[in-house]
Amino acid sequence: MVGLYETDLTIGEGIFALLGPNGAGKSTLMSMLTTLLEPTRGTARIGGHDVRRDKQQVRALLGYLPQDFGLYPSLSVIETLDYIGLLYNLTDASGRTARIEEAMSRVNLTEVRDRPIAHLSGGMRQRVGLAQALLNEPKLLIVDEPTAGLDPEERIRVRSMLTELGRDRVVILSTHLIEDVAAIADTVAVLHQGRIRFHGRPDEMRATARGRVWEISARGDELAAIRHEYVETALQRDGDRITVRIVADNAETRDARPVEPSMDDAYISLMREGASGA
Amino acid sequence: MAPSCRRDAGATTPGSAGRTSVAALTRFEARIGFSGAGPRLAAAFAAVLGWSVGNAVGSGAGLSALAVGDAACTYLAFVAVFRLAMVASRDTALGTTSVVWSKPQPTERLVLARFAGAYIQMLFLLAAMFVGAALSRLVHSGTASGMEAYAFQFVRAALVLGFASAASYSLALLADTPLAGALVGLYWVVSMAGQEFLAKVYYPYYTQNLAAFTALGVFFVGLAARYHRGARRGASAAALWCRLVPPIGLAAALWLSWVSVRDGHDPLMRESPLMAEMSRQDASMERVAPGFLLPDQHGRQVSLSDTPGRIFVVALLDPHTDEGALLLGRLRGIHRAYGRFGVLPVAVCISNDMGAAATLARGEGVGFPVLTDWGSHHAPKAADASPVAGAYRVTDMPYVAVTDRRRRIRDMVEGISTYDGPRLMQAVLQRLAEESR
Repeated sequence: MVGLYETDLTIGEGIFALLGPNGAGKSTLMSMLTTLLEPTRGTARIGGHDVRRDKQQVRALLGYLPQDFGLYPSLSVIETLDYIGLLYNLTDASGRTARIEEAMSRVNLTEVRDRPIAHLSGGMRQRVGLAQALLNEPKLLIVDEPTAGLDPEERIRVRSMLTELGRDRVVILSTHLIEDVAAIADTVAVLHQGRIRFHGRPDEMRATARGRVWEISARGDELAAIRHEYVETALQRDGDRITVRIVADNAETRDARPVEPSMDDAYISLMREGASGA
Repeated sequence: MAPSCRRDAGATTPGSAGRTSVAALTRFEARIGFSGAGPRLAAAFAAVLGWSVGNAVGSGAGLSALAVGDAACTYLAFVAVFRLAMVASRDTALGTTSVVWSKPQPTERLVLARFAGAYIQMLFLLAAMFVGAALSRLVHSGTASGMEAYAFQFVRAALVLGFASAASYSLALLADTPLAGALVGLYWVVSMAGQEFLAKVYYPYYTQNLAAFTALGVFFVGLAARYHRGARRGASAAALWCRLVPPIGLAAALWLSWVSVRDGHDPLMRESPLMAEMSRQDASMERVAPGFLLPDQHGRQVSLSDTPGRIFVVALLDPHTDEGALLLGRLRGIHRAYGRFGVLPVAVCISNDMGAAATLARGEGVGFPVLTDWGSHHAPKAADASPVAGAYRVTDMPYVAVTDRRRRIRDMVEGISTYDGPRLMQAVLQRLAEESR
């Protein structure tokens, strides 16, 4: 079974979002970039270093927030970061302490610095994960599904942190949430079934669906027929009628009106094309 | 697949000039291990266990030290096997793999530091156990004599735990499952239950095997450092030490084991001609006592013919028993009272563990030779347990033969009479009455 097919991709400055459904191969790509997984073929270069050969150099360059990660539950936040600092070869104690303080301050953890990891909320743990990824002041920050499972407030907070971090480094954001991409990504690649379906700016992604997104105002009993005929991307109830948003090459026969595509429309359109082998 | 990141950057940033030392990583690993209430509770249990086994008979701490050493090699070894297997599987259990192993720390350093940190924990438990035993001895006997025997047994137990820890940790790491560590626990159980069919060389907790098993432990850790997540190194070579340690450790373990077999005596493996010669002697009243050449508590070879003209009190005892310790105490009293009249006790320890005699002698503070019968082995009958015991036709331990000044056996005492009641003292006094000089 192939997790990720040959993918030719160059990632530049700012926040690069890797978007795709669960199982698309995003985490596989992340694991390869972070040297945790060995690709069977091909390679990737980070800062000029080959991820297959120069693993130590690559690790020194990057910070990584995994999708599912554990921490030592009995250690406090500051002890955890101290340990990670040692793993990053931050040998000078005062320098390490300064980095830890800075990282905690960046992700708003200073107040819970002495709290054991076991006593942190999911959002706080995610922030510890982000802080540990920042300790070596990475030129490349890889974050895998950083907002998954967080409440809306915490999600906004994490996005805001990533936006700030993306100003002076490359951030690779893997996500299945389109709103993450819409909110903070400079460039985006859509991954589906192990293959890249799109690579470009978010507005370019939206443009891929231009002219193919329609809204249809329909009665409730017409909904099943519409769904059968078109790809639905959104639905909104409006009194006794329903406004259905669809993607289709031509929908004029159904009294549909063309609308500007959203990221959701573009994404679903790309997924549809990917699934049909387009 | 060929993604690349355009922005180039060096890895060195302020505060990251060098590489974290293994010692620094080890300190943190130990901290991780000591965090939480579990380790403190385990230390308390170890201290209580030490307290309960440390209250042993004897005028000194010899038997107490032996008892706590043996208990540590048995019980704490199982704890070490379990604990180290868990430590090896920690990343999988806690989900910390991606956080820890994505960092620029060489694999062998992480493997070594994690082992060292967990082993320090085991030493902490061991120390708690010995402190418990020493306190128990102090409180119950009111004397601190022979405390140095604890140091000897502590080193022994530390090395045994080192092997158990190394083997369990490395197997669990290499197989990526804590169950692999259970193999070591299984070996421990088999070795304890299988004294009738396993040669002495297979026992990690016998003092004479410590060097070989320590080398084997070093081999295991080296193997894990070399091969665990080997692909993680990419094109970089493993550190020199972890390429050299496995072959050197294994070679040393095999060589030391071979030397132990070559120079030892074990009916299950190889019989020593010297010991076979000793066992062919035959002790009987009025005849010259069987001779022997055995190492004493200081490592010197001692024979009865070294000190002619003495009244010998030759005692054969099991150093791990209350009877052995009590007899040694009684011999010490005889030596103090009548040593100046030419009475010389010579204790021969019948034990598979070649370090037991020295521990008992140091703990009891004796000034006469306490010898190790290195031909001892497990046997259902006392006379079959060692060449010297066979030569003296021992039927019940402890056993004492009292000789005249021409080394002829004039009295034999066995069992409880050796250390309880006037029987032994009467035999010595009678010898002195008949042969004052």
